[in-house]
Amino acid sequence: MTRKKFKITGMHCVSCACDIDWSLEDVAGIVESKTNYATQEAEVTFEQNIISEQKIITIIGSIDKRYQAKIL
Amino acid sequence: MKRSTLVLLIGILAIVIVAGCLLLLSTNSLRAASAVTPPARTPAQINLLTVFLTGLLTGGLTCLAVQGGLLATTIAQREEQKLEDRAKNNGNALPILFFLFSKLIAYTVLGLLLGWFGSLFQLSLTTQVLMQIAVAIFMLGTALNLLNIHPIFRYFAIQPPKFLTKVVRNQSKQKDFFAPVFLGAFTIFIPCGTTQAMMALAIGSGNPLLGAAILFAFVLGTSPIFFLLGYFATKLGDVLHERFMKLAAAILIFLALYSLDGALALAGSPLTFRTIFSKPQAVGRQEISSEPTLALTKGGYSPTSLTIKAGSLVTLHLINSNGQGCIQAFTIPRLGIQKVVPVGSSGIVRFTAPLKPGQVPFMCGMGMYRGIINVI
Repeated sequence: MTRKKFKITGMHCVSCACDIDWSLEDVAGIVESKTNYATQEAEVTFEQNIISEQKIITIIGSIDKRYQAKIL
Repeated sequence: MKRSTLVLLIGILAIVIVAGCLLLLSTNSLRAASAVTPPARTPAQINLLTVFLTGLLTGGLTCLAVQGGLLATTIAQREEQKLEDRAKNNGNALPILFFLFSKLIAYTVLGLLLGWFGSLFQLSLTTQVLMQIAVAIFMLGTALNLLNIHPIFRYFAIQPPKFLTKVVRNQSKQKDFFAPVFLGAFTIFIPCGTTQAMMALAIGSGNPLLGAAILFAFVLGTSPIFFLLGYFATKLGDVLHERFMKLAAAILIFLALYSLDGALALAGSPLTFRTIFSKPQAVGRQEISSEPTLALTKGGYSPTSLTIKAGSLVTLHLINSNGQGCIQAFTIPRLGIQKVVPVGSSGIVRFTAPLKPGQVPFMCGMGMYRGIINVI
């Protein structure tokens, strides 16, 4: 299992952070997601052989067009 | 008319009627309540309306993003089980109504708890001043975050811990019809910026009934827009969203400055926003009295200026005919005097006038209704 930190900009409220976590945890291969609204960082735990960091970045961007993620 | 449209119209009408009636009722019952409970620390009439309007104009939208998303998930899961046209017949109005009623009840109870928590910090002047300053700072921070002034203000938004959000999440996965009801109640754990500011106001009120009324008025205000937008499930254009955020921030800043102004006056500061911006009142020829009488009324204190002799022993009679809320807590910050005179009763304050001539302000327990004692 891999744990990676992402920087996510574009979250305009705390609920957005929760939304991102819920959406990510629904994806196959992602075990856990902890997004912090104040620091604008997300710590994602996932199986690297099922899903890649790039795919996670794409998924975050698809939740809301304002969210932009990149690997920290 | 399609059945779903009918349900929608009934839903909107119900909310507007209930909103109007309950707001009136809650204002009246507050008058009775503040007569028997410790004096509420907010001018009830002014704040409730502002709170309701904040909810109506801005709260619905700012919270809709995720709370609405949660609701949409449950509705979508309902539709997975039915044929599309059957779902259209019943419409999505009912689950949304359940969600909103549940949210209303949960937030009102929360307001009760917050107000009660605030009342535990009793009437010590210092505590009141600190509380009002803290509330003002929190509201300002929230407003500045809404305006995206600087990332540092993001820390004013409280993010609930992961284990709580997990519970809310699990509820939304249920294909149960009652899932919206649980969701509505659980949204108290994921409040958005404006809601948190209202919670701060509820704590600052120091009265459980007032705290409950504040959150009740706010959630009621958010309901019509939440209902309409949730029903049509359309995303409002970015520009309109921006405008609403700015309006919410403006209202929060106004409430923050109002609270801060009161805090400054209570702290005994000769400089407050009001003294800076208003012309000094001309002091009319006044009778010096050693036993003046002050009336506590709905609109404040009357008269607003008293004249006493420097160094003399003063017996001040306070008569409360219909003075509500913080007016009942008559305060002279510079002399460290605070006397609570409940509505319909009277009280006496005895003190020695300062030796030096000058002006000594008096005010209500929140620093909002004021007057001057002229020492000559």
